[in-house]
Amino acid sequence: MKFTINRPAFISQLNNVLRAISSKTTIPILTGLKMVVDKEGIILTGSNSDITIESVIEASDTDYDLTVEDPGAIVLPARFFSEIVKKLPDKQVTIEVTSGFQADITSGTAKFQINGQDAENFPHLPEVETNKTITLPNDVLKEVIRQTVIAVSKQESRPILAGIHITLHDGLLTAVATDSHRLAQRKVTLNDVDNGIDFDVIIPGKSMNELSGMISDVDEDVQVQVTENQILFIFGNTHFYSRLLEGNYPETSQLIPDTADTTVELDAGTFLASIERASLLSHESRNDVVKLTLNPDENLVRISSDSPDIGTVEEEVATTSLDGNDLEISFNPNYMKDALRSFGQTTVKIAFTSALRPFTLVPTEDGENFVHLITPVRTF
Amino acid sequence: MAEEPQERAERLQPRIVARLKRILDKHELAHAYLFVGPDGSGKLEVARWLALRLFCLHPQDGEPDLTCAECQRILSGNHPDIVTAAAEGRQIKVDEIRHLKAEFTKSAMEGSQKLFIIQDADKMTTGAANSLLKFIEEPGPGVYILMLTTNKSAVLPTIRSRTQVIEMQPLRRADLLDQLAALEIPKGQRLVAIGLTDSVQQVQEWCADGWFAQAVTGVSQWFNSVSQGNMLAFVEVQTKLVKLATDRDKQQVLLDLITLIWRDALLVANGISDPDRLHFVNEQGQMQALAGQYSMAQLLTVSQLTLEIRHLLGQNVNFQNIVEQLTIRIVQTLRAVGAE
Repeated sequence: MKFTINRPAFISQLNNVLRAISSKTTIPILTGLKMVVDKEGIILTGSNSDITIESVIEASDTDYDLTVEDPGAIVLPARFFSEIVKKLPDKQVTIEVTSGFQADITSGTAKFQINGQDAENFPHLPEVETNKTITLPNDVLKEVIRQTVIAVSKQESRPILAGIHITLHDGLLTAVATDSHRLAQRKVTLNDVDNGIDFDVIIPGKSMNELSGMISDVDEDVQVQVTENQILFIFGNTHFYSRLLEGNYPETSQLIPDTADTTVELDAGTFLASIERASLLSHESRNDVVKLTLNPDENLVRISSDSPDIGTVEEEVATTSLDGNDLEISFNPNYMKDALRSFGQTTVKIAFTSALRPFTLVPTEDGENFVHLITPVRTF
Repeated sequence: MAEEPQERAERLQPRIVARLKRILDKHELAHAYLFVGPDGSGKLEVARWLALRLFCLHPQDGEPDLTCAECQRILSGNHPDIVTAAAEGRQIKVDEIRHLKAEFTKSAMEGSQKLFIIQDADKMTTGAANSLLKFIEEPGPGVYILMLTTNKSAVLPTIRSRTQVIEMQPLRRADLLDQLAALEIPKGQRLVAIGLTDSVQQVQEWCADGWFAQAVTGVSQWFNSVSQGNMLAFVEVQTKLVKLATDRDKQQVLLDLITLIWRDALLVANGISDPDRLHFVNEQGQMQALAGQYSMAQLLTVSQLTLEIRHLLGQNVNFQNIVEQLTIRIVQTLRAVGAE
């Protein structure tokens, strides 16, 4: 194996792959970075077994100034290799595997010789069937992740809830996450999808966060492919694989109430500010709850909280519409804050049934596609 | 020692390997096994053999070929779908358990099967073991769990009941002795050592700087005093044994030696003089004398006392306290009835 490449361009691809590599791993070879070189280009791979990132450097792309002399493959220790490449003196770098698994890295007058491992030992990625691909617009995928990942459970006791449940059925993509106190569900209708493509997977929330960070850096649409045990996202020259969670995700569709006794519409931004003020005191009290009092006859919505040690807070909330029965309901302000933030600057409709039943938040314009559900707290 | 792992498994546990082969041929592998056997009985070797056999691309006559990419990765510890956990020190660490649980919920990375090898399964805390129960009870298809332990009774009964227990067969005494003899370990020590472990490597470690010889002498001297009801034995704990008990492993070996020597005494007192069944052959004369001196009930009580000491060490009781207390109790037992 021998090739020469433009160093700064190579480093940017290297950084991409390094995101997946962790020094804390139980499988020794995963501290390494896999390089496969052929006439068409270079494929860099890094993995922490949960996620795997592949970067494809095409020989035809003139930015990289790539000349391949000899094809081949090797795994090099990722941390050292990237540090070395970053500190090399010249604009070009040549990497050559000489005897066995030893790699020579030369640039200008500097020459490194580092020991690698057999690329065969690196975990094999699943074969992907190209005819089962769906395409998601970049911003839609980002939004889906942002809106659902907040409700992913951080507790270890129910590991299946640490994932986002994503299903595709008849061109309707549904993403659900819940930690059993709250739930976020987002639906997206995909237009040009073959009806034959259905899937039902649970993707770890951590992987989705990482993916979200990576797709923010690019503008391209994202192609998604599902295999038996991994899901693959392709954007630009990057392939992002994530392992899936195994098990049955709880049935969530019946959890979302379809009737309401009291509904209120208000501006998410100003309501968020009110909640933040009220939570200043609620955080100090033992059970961290704020109380919402709704009185449709007097067109009054009041938010209040108290901490026995510090004092009390009361604030009237501006609404655009208020209907139904009188209600007093208490909830954890953190859940409400997360939910409101995921809506951004828009008006939301909150629908309550009773003081002890979960209530829903939906955007007023598009109530079908995004629902956030919060369970209230019993205070009496 | 460049012996191939599958040959080691075959040699150490031929019947179990043959049994597993039959099970595999019929595709009747259970999802969870508990391998029980003393150190050196080849538990890990059998587990490794099973891993190779399950993942090998071209098994020949029920044996892994050891040359394919899968075998190579298993041998170098790089296979992503084989998850192992082992105790570090006295317990399997919380991080390991967390890792295990996370792996249990995730799909296999490559193929459709996953293998978990949990060494020292007895060294999980009750909480940790309980949190794994759910996964052990009904793992997904293609998930196999092998738990290895030296002490079956220390594994939670709830775990035991969810696994198939396979008891490793004890190694042949003569084989072991031959191997130790090849390492030029003196005969007296050889006989004692095989009473403690089946692991040749372990014995080699103990003998490395003459520690084991001192330990055997120390325990024998203590035995001679204490079996005479002589309270000088109490002093010997401080002057001889404590000096030898420099770390936890050595403390454990010393306690095991004490248990072993009293076991021998009980056997000899019962008229068993077959040297094949005894370990402290040098003390045989002394032991025979005991039979006349004390009643069988007394010797039995003492033997029972010595069985408790390992448990005490597990509860973090100081080594010196354990042995001193034991000494007093033995002397009391022997004198009490001797005075009648």
